Amino acid sequence: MAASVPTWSSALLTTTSSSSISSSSSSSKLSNLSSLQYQPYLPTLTYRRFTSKPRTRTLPIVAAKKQTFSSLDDLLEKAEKPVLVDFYATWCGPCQFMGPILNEVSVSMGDSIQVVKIDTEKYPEIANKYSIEALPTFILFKDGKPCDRFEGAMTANQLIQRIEGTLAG
Amino acid sequence: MTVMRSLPATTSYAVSFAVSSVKAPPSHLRYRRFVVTNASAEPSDKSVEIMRKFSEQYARRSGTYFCVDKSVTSVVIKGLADHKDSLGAPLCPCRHYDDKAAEATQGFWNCPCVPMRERKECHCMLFLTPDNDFAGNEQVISMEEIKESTANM
Repeated sequence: MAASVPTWSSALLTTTSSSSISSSSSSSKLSNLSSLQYQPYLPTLTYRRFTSKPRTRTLPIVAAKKQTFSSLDDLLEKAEKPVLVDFYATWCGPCQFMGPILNEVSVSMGDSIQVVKIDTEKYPEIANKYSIEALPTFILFKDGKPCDRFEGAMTANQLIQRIEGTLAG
Repeated sequence: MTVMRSLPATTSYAVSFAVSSVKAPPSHLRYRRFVVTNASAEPSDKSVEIMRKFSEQYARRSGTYFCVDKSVTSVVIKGLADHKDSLGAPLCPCRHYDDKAAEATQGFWNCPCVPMRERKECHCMLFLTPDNDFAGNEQVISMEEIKESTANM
């Protein structure tokens, strides 16, 4: 089953020395200082995209594309397709339940969307930026801007319907 | 303010701050009151057992059922245990908080949370009303089931 590879990345991002993530609570001086200090330790967003040809008798050619982004904003800016962002937590049952479902959806909708997962415990500032409360929360970004937002677990069909409905409208 | 008929919170477990495996610091550091703890990614077995028992009791009491997919139940129980270990109270694991400690003290989202007690709404999919699509027909879950379902985490 070599063809079923997900089109999502699960690592995430960082603060940079620029003000791309504006934290209203800290002064710009402070955030510059802290980002300078942590410079060598900044985790980077890894975006891995697999493209596969439709299944035929021969082995599909799978090309992995690894890209590094300095922030979620950066990824959203550079995205060629709408991005479905899943905000989750390790010990959230419904979030884990959605794991395989997201895999399935990202394979079947690989041409139309890209799926990204964000661990809200590792990156609370991003979760705060988008006022995430209940988990899982899904935000669909089109042209870098949120165009739909919904919470809770659902079946693959329901998720696909919701996404297609939003993209069509 | 109307009087709401709400399910009383089951306080059959002691709420105490549990620190997992506190080691005695090396002698040259002891005078500094330096406490070394083993913070692991896994909740303690004791807390998991407490939350497992609580979940079974509360499901029975509220007439709700566990998810057809027991791994969801297992993950939530472990999440509750993890918060009980780190915060002293089983804060809902399916929410993002600005300040977890403050929320745990405030109590709205301590399991069983207010929405559950008042309206039987559990977005964690831990306690499901019979009409819910994901509801199974069980109100029990064993420690083995929990361990198996979460073994790969």
